[in-house]
Amino acid sequence: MKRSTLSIAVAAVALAAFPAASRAQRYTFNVPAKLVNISFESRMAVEDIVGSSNKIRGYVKRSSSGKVTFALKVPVKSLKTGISMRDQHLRSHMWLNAARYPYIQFVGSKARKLSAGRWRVTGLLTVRGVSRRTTVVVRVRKIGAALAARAGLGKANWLRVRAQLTIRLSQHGIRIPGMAAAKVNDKWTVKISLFARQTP
Amino acid sequence: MKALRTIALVAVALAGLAPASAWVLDSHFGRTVQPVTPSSPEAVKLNKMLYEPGGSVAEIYGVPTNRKMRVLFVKKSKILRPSEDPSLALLMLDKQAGDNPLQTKTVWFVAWRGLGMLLLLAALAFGGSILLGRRRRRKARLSAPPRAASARG
Repeated sequence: MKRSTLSIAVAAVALAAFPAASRAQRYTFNVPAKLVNISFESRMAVEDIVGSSNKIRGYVKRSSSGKVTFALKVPVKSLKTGISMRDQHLRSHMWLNAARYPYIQFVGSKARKLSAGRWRVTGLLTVRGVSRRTTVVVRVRKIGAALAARAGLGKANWLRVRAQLTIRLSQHGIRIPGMAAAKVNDKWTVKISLFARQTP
Repeated sequence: MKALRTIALVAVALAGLAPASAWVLDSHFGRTVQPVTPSSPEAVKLNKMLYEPGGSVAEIYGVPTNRKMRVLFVKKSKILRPSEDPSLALLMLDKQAGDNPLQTKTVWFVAWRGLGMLLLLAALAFGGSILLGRRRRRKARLSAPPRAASARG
């Protein structure tokens, strides 16, 4: 009797301390474009190229055992740099080859909590059909249904996800042509600010 | 020959003018800003609700670039001075709408490249004029009757 009471108490404390681990959760990134902000930049002596996208599809899921899986994809056609000709070049076969590889994807199943609201996630980043194991530190902020409703997002729990990662074009099989070598850096910084809605 | 010298002189003058123009543009029309890919009003509203003092102010309004940028001829309406920190000058760069301001580093790059090209052109034109002058003088010397022979005759 004493032992069973103790086990119930321990279980209750555990549930209170780790509510997320006790039940599965799924959040979708299939949200309106106004809630998606992806920016990328390349710095060179001639100019800094800044581009953006506001389209993304994907989800992040946490199973009842606590395992996190995620899959995100950004359409290459949605990447814009402010100059339409440059965007066309970016989509061309020499660069991201949008016709053959229409999406940039990040898929994974490894996530480790670093501190409150900070996670280290590892997955396969696929650019132009070439996948690389990539680790990203993600800042996650939970948004309760009440706050979300006040902000006009409807009655659901939301997450705000912010992250920064570096992509080296050469690691994804993209060779910068000689003509563009002075203008385009091999190293690109990508920053994201997304909102994800909880789904049943 | 005269034309080549004129070209060389004009190239030298323009070479001097290129960095001078860049300097004038940079110092009079240049502005250092923090570029931000703007978020929608809905996202900004939510970010404001979630903002905690000490956090990044620029991130309320969108995704800021890692470094500041110096730009030319930017409309005042594109620059936001947030109430949370009015010392910031956030340049709202809506790439989806085609924003692409001229950067001072591009102007300086073109100016230095132009300077180099024009100085090269000037050197080539001067060199060409000197060579042409020498060739003409040699031709003139060869075609003229020798002085000693004419004196003896």
